[in-house]
Parts: sequence; C-alpha cells; structure tokens
Amino acid sequence: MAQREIKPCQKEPAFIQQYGLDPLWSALSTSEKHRMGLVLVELIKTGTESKPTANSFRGRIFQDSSWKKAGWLSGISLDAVGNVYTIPAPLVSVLDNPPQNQNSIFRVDAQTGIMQKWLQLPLKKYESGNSPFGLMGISFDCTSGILYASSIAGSKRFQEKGVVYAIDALSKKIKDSLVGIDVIGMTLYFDPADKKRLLFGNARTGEIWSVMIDKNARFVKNSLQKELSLAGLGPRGDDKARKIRFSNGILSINGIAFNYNLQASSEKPETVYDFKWNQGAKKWELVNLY
Amino acid sequence: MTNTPILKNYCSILLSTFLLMPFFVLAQAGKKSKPVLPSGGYVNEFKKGLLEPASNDTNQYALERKKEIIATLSQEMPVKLLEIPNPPPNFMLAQQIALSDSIFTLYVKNKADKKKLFNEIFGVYPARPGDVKPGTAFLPGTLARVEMYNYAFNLTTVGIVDIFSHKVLSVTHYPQTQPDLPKRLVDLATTIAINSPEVGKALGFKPGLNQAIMSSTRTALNRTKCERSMHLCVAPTFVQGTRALWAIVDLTDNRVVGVRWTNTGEDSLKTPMTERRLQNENIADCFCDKVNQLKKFGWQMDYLLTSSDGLMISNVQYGTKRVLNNAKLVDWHVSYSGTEGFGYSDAVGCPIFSQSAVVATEPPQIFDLVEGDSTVGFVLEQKYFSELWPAPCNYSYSQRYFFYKDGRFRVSCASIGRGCGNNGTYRPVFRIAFAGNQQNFFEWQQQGWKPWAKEGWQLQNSLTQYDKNGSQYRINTNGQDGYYIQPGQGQFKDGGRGDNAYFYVTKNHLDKDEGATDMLTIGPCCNTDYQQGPEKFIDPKPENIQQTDLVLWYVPQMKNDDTPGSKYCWSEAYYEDGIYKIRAYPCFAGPLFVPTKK
Repeated sequence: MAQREIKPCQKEPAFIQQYGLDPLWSALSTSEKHRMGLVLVELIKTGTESKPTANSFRGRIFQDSSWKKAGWLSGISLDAVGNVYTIPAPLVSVLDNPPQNQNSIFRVDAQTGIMQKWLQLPLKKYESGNSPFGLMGISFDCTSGILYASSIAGSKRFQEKGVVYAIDALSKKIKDSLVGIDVIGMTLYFDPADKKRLLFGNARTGEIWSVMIDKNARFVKNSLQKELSLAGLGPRGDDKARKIRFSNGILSINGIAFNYNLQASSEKPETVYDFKWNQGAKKWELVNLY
Repeated sequence: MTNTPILKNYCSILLSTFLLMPFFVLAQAGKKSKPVLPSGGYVNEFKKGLLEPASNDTNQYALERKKEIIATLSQEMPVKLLEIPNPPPNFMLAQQIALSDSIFTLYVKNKADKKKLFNEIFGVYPARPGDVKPGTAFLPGTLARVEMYNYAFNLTTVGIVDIFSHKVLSVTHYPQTQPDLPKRLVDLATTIAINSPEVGKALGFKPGLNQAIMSSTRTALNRTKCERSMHLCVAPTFVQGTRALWAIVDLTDNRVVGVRWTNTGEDSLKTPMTERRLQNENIADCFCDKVNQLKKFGWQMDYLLTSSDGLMISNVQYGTKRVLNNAKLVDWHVSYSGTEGFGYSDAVGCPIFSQSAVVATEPPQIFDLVEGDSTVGFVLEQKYFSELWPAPCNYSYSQRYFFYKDGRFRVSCASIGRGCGNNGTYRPVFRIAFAGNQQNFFEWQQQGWKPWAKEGWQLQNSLTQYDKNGSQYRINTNGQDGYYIQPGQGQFKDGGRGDNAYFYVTKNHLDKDEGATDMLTIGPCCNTDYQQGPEKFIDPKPENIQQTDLVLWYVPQMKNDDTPGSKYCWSEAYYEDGIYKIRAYPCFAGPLFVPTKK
C-alpha cells in the first residue's frame, strides 16, 4: 500500500454567499499585497473552464471589518462545517501583530462570517533574541475533528522550544503536544501501513519528519522519524518547508528561506519540491522542482 | 555548537579583517582638504566601505583571471572554452558543435541590453543514459554532454551533442544552478582561499594547495551555495584534528566570502556550510550574542548588534569623560506618496532570531577617517541588506558613527535604495542618550541660546535658525559643558542633501524603560508628520526637562530620487566585465555633535 493523502475539508463557508459570490469561484486569502488580514477574492471565469486555477483572473475583493483585527495572517484551514481557522504572522514589523497575539488562533464563523479570537495557546512574555513568530502552521484533520497547530513562540537560537498542538476543535481542549521542535508546514497522511501520521517541516534544518497519531489524537512519540531533507536542494540549498501537501501520490513541499527574522516572506523566492515514495528503496525521491 | 576558543578565534578574524582600513571623506565645512572619492558614483556591495575607492586585487592569479575574462568578452561568442591537458578525441569539437547551436547560446548575451556576458564551459563528458531521449538514433560513443556556466545569470546550460552528425540533440537551461567545476577553477578557488588573510589567521599558518582537502570525502572542495549573492561558490575546507575550516570562495567575484570552523562529525558533512549560514552564524556569534569593546584615538565604547535597533553603542567615553549612555537606530519608516498608507516600518539588526526586516550580513567595520593627508578620527559602520537587494522592494541601509580625535562625533545613517518606487521618503529614528543626570537643552534663536523647559519636538525647515557654526541645538550635560548639535544641511559632503529632521527631547525616567532596551517597532510607516514614534514618550502634559536626564530623538527625512545625475537613496545594477554589479547612491543623514569646550 502506498502513502495516502488525507484531503482537507472541502466544505465551503456559508458566509461566502452573503457576498453574492459562487463559493467555487472565490477564494480566501491572507497574502494580498497591501491588504492586511483575511480577504475574500472573486475569481473570474473567462472561458469554458469548469473550475478556477492558480492563474484565474481576480475580480472584486471583500473584507469584513473583523478580518483585520488579528493583523497580518498566514495559514488558513477549514473544518467540516466551513469554519475558517487562521493564525497571525507579522509581516516586516510587529506593529500590527503584537507579540501577545502571536499564539492565538482566530476563527471566522462559517455562518456569520465574523472573525474572533478562538483560542489562546500558552505564551510567555516576549524577550529580545526570541523567535519573532508564534504560530506558524495549521492543519485541520477532517477525519477526527482535530486541529493541528505549530508554534515557535519562545524559541531561541540555542533552545528549540517549538510545540505542535493537537486541539479538539469541539471542546478547544489540547489533546496532546509535541514539544521541543520548531515546525512550519504540516499535513496529515496515511503511511503504507495505513497509520495516520503528521508530516511536518523543521524550521531550522529543512528536514521533513513524521510522527504517528493514534486514535485518541495522541502523538506516538517513539514513532518520530525523519522522512527527507531539503538541505542542499534547489537554488538556495537551505530552504525550509513552508507548506506541505499530497496530491495523487506526489508530496509537494513549498520551500523558502527562513531565518527567524522579519524579512518579508512575500518577497522571498519559493521553490516547490515534488517527491515520490519509492516503495522498493523505502525512501522519498525528488522527482521535480520548480 | 562551537566551543569558546573557536568562537574567540572567529570573532577576532572578523574584526581584524576590517580594522585599520582608511576611510576617506570630504572635509567638514570650513576646512580645506583634498578628498579621495571614488569615480563613477558610489560602490557595489562588496567594496569595503561605502565611499572607499575600489581596490584592485593585484595577486597574479587574479590578474590572470581578469585577462581571461577580458579576452573572452572580446570574442564575438563570449564563452571561454574548456582546455585540458591531453584531451580525449573530439573534446574541442563537442564544444564547437554546442556553441554553433542558437538554443545552447541563447543566454550568452543579455537580450535586454545586448551586453556580452561571461560564460565558461565547465565540462565535456560522455553523455549519460538519462541524457538521451528514448528513441533517439545515434552511434554508440558519439554523444557528448557539454556543460556551460553563465556567471551573470547564475545559469547552467547543458547540451547533448552528436559528434558524428555535428548536431545538438537537446539543450536544457537550469536557472540558479552551478555545474561541477573543472580542475582549473578548483585550483583557482583553492588558491584564493590559501592566499586569504582570514584563512591564514584562522589556521595560524598559510596552508598549501594540497591541504585544502576534506579527508573524509577525498575532495578538495565542498559544494556550497551563495544563496544571497547568487554567485558561483565553492568551499575549500581545511581539516585540523576534529575540526574543519570552511572557506567559502566566490568565483564570480574571486574573493573569500567568509570562514567558519565546524566539527568534522557526520552531521557537519550532511549540512553544507553556505554563504547565508556562515554569515548569519558568524554575525550572531560575534556581534549579537557578544558585546564588543572599542578603544581608539581617546575614545572608548561598547558596541552590540541588537535584535531590532541596529548597531548600538554604549558607555561611550572620550578621554576620562563619559559622553553617551547609548545611541541606536530604532526604526526605518519608509512611505510612498503614490499609494495612501503604503510603506514599511523596517527594523535593522541581527540576521537571526531578531525582529529585523533588513539584516546585518557582514561584520561592523572600523575605518580610519582621513581628511586630506591626516587621520582625524575613525568610523564604525554597519550595513544591512534585504536578501534580494537591489531588486525592487528590497532595501539596504548603512549606519555610521564618526568619532573625531578632537572630541566631535556624528551619528548617521543612509538608505541605499532601492525600495518599491521612486516616490519614497525614508525616516530613520535615532535614539541618543547622553550621560549625566543634570542635563539642559537649548535651541539657537536670534538672541542666543534659549532653554527648553518642557518635553517637546521641532521640525528643521527653511526658517530654522542656526548659530554661526551651523548649530541648531545645544545640550549641556554638566554645567556649561556639553555639545552643540549640528543637523545635516548638506554640509557633510557625503552626498547628504539636508536632514529636514524632527527633533524630540524627552525626559528619561530612570525607574522605567524609556526606550533603552531593544524596542519593538516604534511607529507606523507612513505618517508624514511628527508622529514617528518618539512623541509617545512625551507625556500628555509635557514634563519639565531642566536639570534632569534626557533622551534625544532625531528623525531625518530623505526623499529618494532616480533621476539620472541626481540619484539619491537609490541603487541599481550595472554591467562590468561580463557580469552585473551594484552601484549605490546612498542618502546620508544625521547630526554632528561638537563639544562646547575644547
């Protein structure tokens, strides 16, 4: 049996229709230039295409006033009823992203479209020399209702203090945490033995690791294993995994330079590395990069 | 993690490399001297000081390499062929066939400006099975793989050549990729490394060519990346016991980027030392995690690269007199007039684990300050870069402290472009705290020096009055002892066009943080008035500032300009010797402090 992806929840938020948009022909974005926060972007159908692509023309942009309250944002993940979870990430400066919010998860209600702080994860006072970031990655597991969130708040140069949280979205309770590892991109998948694993990119080394998750959403700590490394690959050779996803048996990793500073990530060149599992050799093989 | 002796060694290498280099500037107003200025505007990022003339490498190997480049560029096809002793049959023919193909040579000249770029054939090999498309007909042993490197575009081109039919079967261009180096470039890189003062100092002796060997890999060079400069780089590595000294050599500029010791464990071999990693770790070890001391020409001080307030000097003393508690550069506010509210608040400082958006990648530099034939003081300078500078929407800044033998000093900084447009205004925020608990502050008016009684701010403009020496303010730190403050009016002959500065004076409460610790972003990008951040330290009911501890804040305003002939706060790429280099037009600003008593 090969590696299998766990698809993200596809349920579109009901509030999109309040804006008079077709949910299929619209997209939520946190990376619009000069637009802080979350926005809803209309995508324009120009021909006979059945669904939008990455190159689809963009139309009107909508933004509820509450979508700006958390400052600049990064990851977005939807749950099974269309609630939108998102996390703050400072862009160039912390002026709009005060350190006290760097470990807060925000949620846009699927029905009302209003964004509110949903959960404050543990956070110590910011000290000079710490990571300027808090939450870095977010991924909702539709098969279990668990939201996975990674934070590097409090991490220091010689002390890796990052945490990956497994949060029950219904009760908001932290079911388990993986402590002492700085993680950016994450995704969930079933391994060849059909065990659910969280695949995640280390923010310091460019290595991609995985850990098994049991039925109670607990990390099986002794199952931690290194899967592959981006070190030395691509035009820069020191990329870290910003985003990880599976599609049709291909593991795609978006790599960027990341050095625990506030250099504008939007201006950073990004390389996509495609890997395929070689069952015979029992390892991931780079099949493409672009 | 490195141990302390190694760390001490790095830091001394970094410092000694940049010490005692002369720094030429024009004389201060009113003094006569003949300055030495570079021709052709300012300089590219790799010259040692922003105003220093370019120095030519006079080593024989550098001269020979330059000759090769010039000879190659003089040809119609600017490609240096690969020549080796006793070449196999058809070695040169394979290269000639490749160069006759218009796809293979697509990038040897820049289509945009028609300039000839420096290209070099790095390898000619028998084609590999995977190089040939299935179904391609060819005679066994007749296919060659020709690899060419383009230095300007950091691009590798691979051509599969059929020697029998004299045809090129396929061509692939690989951006941001470097092929394996031919032996002569391996030797050149090693020669550059063994002749560099950094390597000699780190090892304690000048190594020989055959000592650049990683014993465990049996190769003379380790692969590395110059991911910042996007240049061709390799890393001759020198093993000493259980340690390895990595010297990253840039073969586009023919210079050593830096050196760093690692332990020769398994992990060390798996994770290559790259330009960015080497620079970041060296800067963090030696200047972010460590306070350095500087003593020169009667001055002494500590300096530290902060997380987000630039290079901070502290405990500054001239002779036996304590002058400054500290001074630093808190923020850069950049606003663009074309789009309402568009701009950035950039912090500058340490490259890792910092809140900086534009980071230090090179160590602070210390230069002698030369006016005419005399050394009149010294300069402490720190530069900061965005990764892709000078591409649009990337930034570079310089921060300079000048210390004169006669007790004057100047706090200054510059934007070195390029930013997001030609309608930008830069507003750096300096925080300057003098020593002394009984300070008084004055402003020059027609009738003389008028004391300020309360906290406040003021804008330097066309109506501003100066005394006969150009002083606008005066701070007394101990009785009548203190400093005149001369804002920039274009008098410093460093290209600055005047500061148009906001000046703030606030009371320094000793029992609370008045901005002395590393500050988070102090203000928004795009306020065009006095609200740049320091006003937050002025109480709603401004406090009395007589006979007390003060903080001075200085916010000059520099408008950028890309007009040919008057470029300012700007930078651009220019063509030279087959590659593109960077020319900068910095806009310097900052006040001079002149002792009230000699």
